[in-house]
Amino acid sequence: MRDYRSTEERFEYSPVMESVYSDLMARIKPNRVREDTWTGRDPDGKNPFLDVFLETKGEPYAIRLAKSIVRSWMVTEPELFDGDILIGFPRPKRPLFEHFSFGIFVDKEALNYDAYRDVKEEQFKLMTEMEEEFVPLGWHYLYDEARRRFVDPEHPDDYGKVANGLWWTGGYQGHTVPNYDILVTRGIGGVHRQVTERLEGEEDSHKRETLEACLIILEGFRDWMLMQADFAEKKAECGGEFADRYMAVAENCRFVSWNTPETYYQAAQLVWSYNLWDWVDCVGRLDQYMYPFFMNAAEENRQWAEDVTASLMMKFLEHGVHNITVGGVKPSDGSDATNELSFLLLQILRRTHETHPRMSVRIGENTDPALLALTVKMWSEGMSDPSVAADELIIPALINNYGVLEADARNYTMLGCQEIEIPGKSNFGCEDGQINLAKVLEFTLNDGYHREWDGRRVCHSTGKITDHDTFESLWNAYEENVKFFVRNFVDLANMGQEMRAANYAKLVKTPFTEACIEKGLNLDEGGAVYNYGVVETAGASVVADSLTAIKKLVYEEKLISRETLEAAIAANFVGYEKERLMLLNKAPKFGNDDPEADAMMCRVLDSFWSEIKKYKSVRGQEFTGACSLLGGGIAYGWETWATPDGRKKGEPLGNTIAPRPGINKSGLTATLNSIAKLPLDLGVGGTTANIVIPTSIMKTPEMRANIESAMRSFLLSGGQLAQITTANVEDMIDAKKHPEAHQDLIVRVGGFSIKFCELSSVDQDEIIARYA
Amino acid sequence: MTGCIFNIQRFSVHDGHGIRTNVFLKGCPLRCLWCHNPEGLKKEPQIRFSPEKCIGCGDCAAVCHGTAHNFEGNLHHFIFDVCEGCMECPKMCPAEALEADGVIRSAEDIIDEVLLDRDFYEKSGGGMTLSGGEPFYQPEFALELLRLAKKNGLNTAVETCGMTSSDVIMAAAPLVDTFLFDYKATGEQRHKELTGSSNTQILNNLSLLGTLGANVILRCPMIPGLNDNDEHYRGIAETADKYDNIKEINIMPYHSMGVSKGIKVGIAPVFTAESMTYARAEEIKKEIEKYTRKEIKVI
Repeated sequence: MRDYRSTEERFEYSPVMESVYSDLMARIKPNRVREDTWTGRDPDGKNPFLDVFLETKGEPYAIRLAKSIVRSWMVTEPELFDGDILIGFPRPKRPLFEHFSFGIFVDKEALNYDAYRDVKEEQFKLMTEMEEEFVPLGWHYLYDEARRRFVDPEHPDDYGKVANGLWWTGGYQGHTVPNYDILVTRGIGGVHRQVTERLEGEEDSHKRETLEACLIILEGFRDWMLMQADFAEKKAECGGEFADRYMAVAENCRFVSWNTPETYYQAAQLVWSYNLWDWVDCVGRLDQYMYPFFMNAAEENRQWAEDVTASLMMKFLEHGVHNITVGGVKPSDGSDATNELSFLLLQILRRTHETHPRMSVRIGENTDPALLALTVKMWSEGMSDPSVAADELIIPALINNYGVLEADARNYTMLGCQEIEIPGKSNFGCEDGQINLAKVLEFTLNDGYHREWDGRRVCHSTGKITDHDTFESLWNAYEENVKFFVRNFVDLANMGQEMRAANYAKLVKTPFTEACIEKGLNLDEGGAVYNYGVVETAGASVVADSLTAIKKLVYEEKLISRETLEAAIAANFVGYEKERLMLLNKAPKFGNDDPEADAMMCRVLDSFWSEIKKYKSVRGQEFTGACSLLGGGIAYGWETWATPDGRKKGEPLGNTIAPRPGINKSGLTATLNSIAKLPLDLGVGGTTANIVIPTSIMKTPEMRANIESAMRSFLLSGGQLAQITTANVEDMIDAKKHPEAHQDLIVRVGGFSIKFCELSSVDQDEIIARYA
Repeated sequence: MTGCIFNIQRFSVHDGHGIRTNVFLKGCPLRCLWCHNPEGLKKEPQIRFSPEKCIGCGDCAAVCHGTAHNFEGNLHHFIFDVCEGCMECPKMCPAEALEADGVIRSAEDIIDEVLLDRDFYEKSGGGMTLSGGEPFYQPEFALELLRLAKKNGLNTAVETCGMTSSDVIMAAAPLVDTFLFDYKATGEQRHKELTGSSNTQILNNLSLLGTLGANVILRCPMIPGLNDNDEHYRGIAETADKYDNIKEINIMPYHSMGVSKGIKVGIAPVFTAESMTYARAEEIKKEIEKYTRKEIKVI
């Protein structure tokens, strides 16, 4: 392909890479959710983590964890596919100790291997001792506190009744992007020297342990790379048509096991290898840190540069890399950073037409217009990737509201589903938890009592609907309960972080997160430069629409009495269909560019996001909002009682920041306008709008130009993030009947692009409802 | 100034250039057999009734100035013929079973709503499109909307059947960036049969727009069995070639949505057919291309 910017030309693999690609497609599982990815072979059925911990009794926890991570890789047999030019493959599927840490998972799961059948009890005793000695903070630490706050200690299981549908707090994943810039410019050896120097004279034993653990990781990585090299060399020695390639792989691995990469090929192998150790997490602004290498390679041999890029993208596809960000601005001067590699990466994704790796495109005032044009072209071909991010909103918000330095703000990246971070410098606690505001409203409307848990109060007594003479009185009650739950949420979220810090979660990321080495702290104890907290939100639009309906129909127009509303909600609208339809149809709803409804949504978000900003994460800085749940909108909706916007019990809440399915009836521009009015600068954890654009309105170049204009307008005037679902409703209905004919149908679910036919029937119906 | 409209449709991308907002004005002088917007024929507000949505609450009957609502148990009959048009029942109906097809609004108010998408028009080269019904059936109101749009710097388009006075066309021409001008039948007699009116005035107006040098796109609804014939194809081509100011021909394949919409406003269908496929429309395009070199698009 001559011009990667072209929407007409298409990228094609070279013949060799085409065969690597068809082998990949033959072995890949249809469902490539990362944890279920086809993984490496399991030689003896043992758990290397457990083995190391049992062998190293008496050593500090951080050291034992580091050694166990290294061991787990060293016992995993390498894999190099026929004709491929990059080596490296995930470990066998195990509890994800290297990511979530060992201590958090010290439970029976670690012993759930047949290999330990005979020694199970003895092992469990040892592990319990270990937990007491080195891992003081396990999940029970968090749950005990949560139970103490909310339920009778005699009935600890009751906490589930409070928490189900209300929140998840305490952190659960923890995507961050390691500093790949440093990885490719200093190499493993360079960082090892830095840590060694830092360690000199350090007397604090905790810091020493952290730094020594980093050294073990770096040295272990080197040894593992050398093992990969030996494996490739042996494969080369067997001869065959690809022997030269395998020899090159071996040389490559040997070189970057310690040295700074000099070629694009070396840099690609190093990035992929470290990404493997990093649990195949997000890789940040790949088009930026790889660009100098790519250009040098392309000048010498463009075909080779393309092959290397294609091989890297195939690795990312096979293992479900979450997010690659392209475009945006340069940190140094804010000029357009879009380059040839940005386009090539998109073209390869377009060629594969797959759901992974997921990609994001950063769009600003001065971004090359061809980037958005190619993006829309990809949507028009039925893809949901890439999603788009608005530089004009995100960069100033990071600087002004969260004190991020300008150059760092300009360098932000998308990661996880739809979260925002500063690559290699931040730990925004992605995510510290999620909270369902619709549940808070549900409790508020019922005087703090749980609807389905007889006679139990879970928050402040703020009266029933009938007790509030004015709308403002009701609002104050809601806000009081928001404050109550936020306070408790933050306490528990912070305990979760303490637990993760004590467990050295994400240890592999620590040497490549700026400031961790200088501070001698791990990632979850505030080691990074930026340490915000992030709270995901569900149900915001349901709360807003409910309050608008109550304000208008109950307090202003008095068409429904407070008593009737209370009875209707209590009855889940059974016997009150007329009132339900009035609440649904006779009051304006968010997402239709209606001033009243949109103002209420602003008020709901502003109230919640301002409240969480009053609190600091235990890592050091304030909490910010995020809203990118779609699956969450279904799951939380299932647990949420009937709401005064006319929604029945169990129906889905809105997905992401977008309105509830079927509520926005005024066209795409109205929905985009509504969203752009929101105080999105307080929700820079990642607040996305899931937008439906049927492919039928992107058929011609004129139509695509209109979509480009609409998205550009949204992204330059107040929008933050958008992810696109492109399929047509007819296709989806047909796909339910004839899944076999629609295996390529891709839809967007809360940050994931997923094959429609792989969704549950309920989720399929929810998505179809959004189109109707 | 006020007028009667039955819809404001934002993010329209099929009628004119760029992202547009369509304002649908009520009332039409023609009675085309296949009318695809039958809810726009009558000049006054009217009731649209969707019985499947009715929950039988009976609140409509309580506010009706006449006796248009009959209930047999929960079964709701709306008698279009006796409706006096008081338009009270849609306000009460919680279920949207009864909806107002047509509201009286001021031109300023409508333009304010149109301007909500100004940013999108500027980035896409779009603007406001007047549609209907026939926009010039409320000539002063249509002209006022166009004047206000121009005052606000908006690009304007008008979808018209052309059946209006020459004075209105003269007044509109400087305010309209694009006329989407219908061409439905070839020959006066055939035009009368299909639309209920002669095409003399319409063709005069088309000629007037030619003289004025207005930007015109010729819009040709293709109705199976009624005008998908060679004589009409020639007519389209000849008409388009006659005027230099006609830059483009649009083929609009018939769709049957008008039938169900008509039933909801009490109009029994006089013509029904299967919706025309895009493939068939493309064939027709090729036929017309035999006779003219002007650009033809299927939309």
